[in-house]
Amino acid sequence: MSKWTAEAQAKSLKYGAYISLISGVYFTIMLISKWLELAGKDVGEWPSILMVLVALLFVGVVTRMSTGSHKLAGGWREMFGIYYDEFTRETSRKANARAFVGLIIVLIPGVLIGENLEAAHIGSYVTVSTYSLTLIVVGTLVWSLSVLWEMRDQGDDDNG
Amino acid sequence: MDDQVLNNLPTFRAKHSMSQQELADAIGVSRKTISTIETRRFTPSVVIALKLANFFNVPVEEIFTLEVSSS
Repeated sequence: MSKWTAEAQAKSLKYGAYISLISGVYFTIMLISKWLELAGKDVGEWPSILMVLVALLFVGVVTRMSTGSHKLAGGWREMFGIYYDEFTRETSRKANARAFVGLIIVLIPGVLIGENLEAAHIGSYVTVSTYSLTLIVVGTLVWSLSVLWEMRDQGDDDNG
Repeated sequence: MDDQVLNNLPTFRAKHSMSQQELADAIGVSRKTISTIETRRFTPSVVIALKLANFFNVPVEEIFTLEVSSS
């Protein structure tokens, strides 16, 4: 296994965030489509078309990650997100914490209104499927946007 | 307000005509680590602070200073 440099670790986390963001968008489209379906709206094939486009984007980004100068070689450490570069590690931890908070924010209302869905105004839109999708969407979007925000280009030297 | 860690890392880099990437490679961190230290978005650990001080061959206090909050 080649040495997993600090620069490669930062790149790995950033690419992971892009992939997570694309996944989040994919599941968001799926969730909105389900809600519209539950609301009795006919949206035709647009959700499917959008999901296919997003899936193609996902494949494109993963392919780019796997080839050329963007090739990452962190092995099992990369698979499990174990970083030794300090900034990358801290960014990952912050994103994990924020995603966890986001999930709690979705879970608590689920606990509070879960027993009385019929009485709740949104009851007809909450199924196991849509609730699960909401958790996935919140988790992926919060995590990915947190990483991309922390790794924004502000302050980067023009000469690199 | 919390105490702030200030640094003059850009000055040291400029003195040595180094880019952020070059400095990052020299001490074994990512370029993002260097750029976020310089913009004070990230407070480095003692290890990184000492690595930087050793690299520039100066005491740590010449690179990093602590701004104590008045409250």
